Amino acid sequence: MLKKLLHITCLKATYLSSKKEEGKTTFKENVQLKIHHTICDSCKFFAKQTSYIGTNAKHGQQYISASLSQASLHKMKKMLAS
Amino acid sequence: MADKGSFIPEKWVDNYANDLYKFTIMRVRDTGFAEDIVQETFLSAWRAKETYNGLASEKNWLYAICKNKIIDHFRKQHAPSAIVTSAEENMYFDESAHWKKNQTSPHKWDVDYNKKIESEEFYKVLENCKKKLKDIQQQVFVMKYLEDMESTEICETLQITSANYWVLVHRCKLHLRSCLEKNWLNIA
Repeated sequence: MLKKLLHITCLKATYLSSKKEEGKTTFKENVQLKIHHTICDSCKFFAKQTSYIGTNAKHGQQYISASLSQASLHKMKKMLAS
Repeated sequence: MADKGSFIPEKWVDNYANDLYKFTIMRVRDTGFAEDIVQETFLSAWRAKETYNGLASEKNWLYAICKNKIIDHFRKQHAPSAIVTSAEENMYFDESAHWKKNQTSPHKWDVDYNKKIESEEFYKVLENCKKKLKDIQQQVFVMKYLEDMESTEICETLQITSANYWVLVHRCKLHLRSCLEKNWLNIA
């Protein structure tokens, strides 16, 4: 009975770890997640790795190599000057 | 107080066009849309230049306008019918909803989770992985992680329910994590 109440699947656990990140999980869900993470390394890695990706994602602008063509830059200048 | 000295509209294109373009391309992916958004940013800023009050720096002011243009673009683009169709989760989970016993399940990463990532390779791979997401998944990812927007605001912008929002966040994470594990860390 208790096992049934607290047991969750990996699909549910990964879904809940996103909600937990935003503080949107219930007490029961928190317990379920915690128990699941003690027995499932994959889901523990998932939670850790995805929050790691999320917190770093915004810092990459300096590595973007895309740039506008000279023609586009010229067009924008002309547009503002007119 | 206003530091009008550093407010030079005639120099905007030279000083900011390429940086704003990089900022935008990280968020909308499509080069044509990105260029339009930068152009519209300058146009709106130019028309509003008399109202600039110096509270924000010229640079931050332009970025704020650009960000609003990007969010507007998302708002116009949304296609609610296409949100939660096929069960993409099946790529990762078996019929009992546990990880498939193949290369898509999470492995240990040999990284320092508390340290900021300074690797160019990570960001190059991340950009490529983001390209593989569906438009709406990528938009959710951008608003949540790049713009730190609240989920209620994201749902409102994209006209989606909170249940759909959680499904989209979940799928973004599944796809990006797996793509980075494979292509950045080369764990197969």
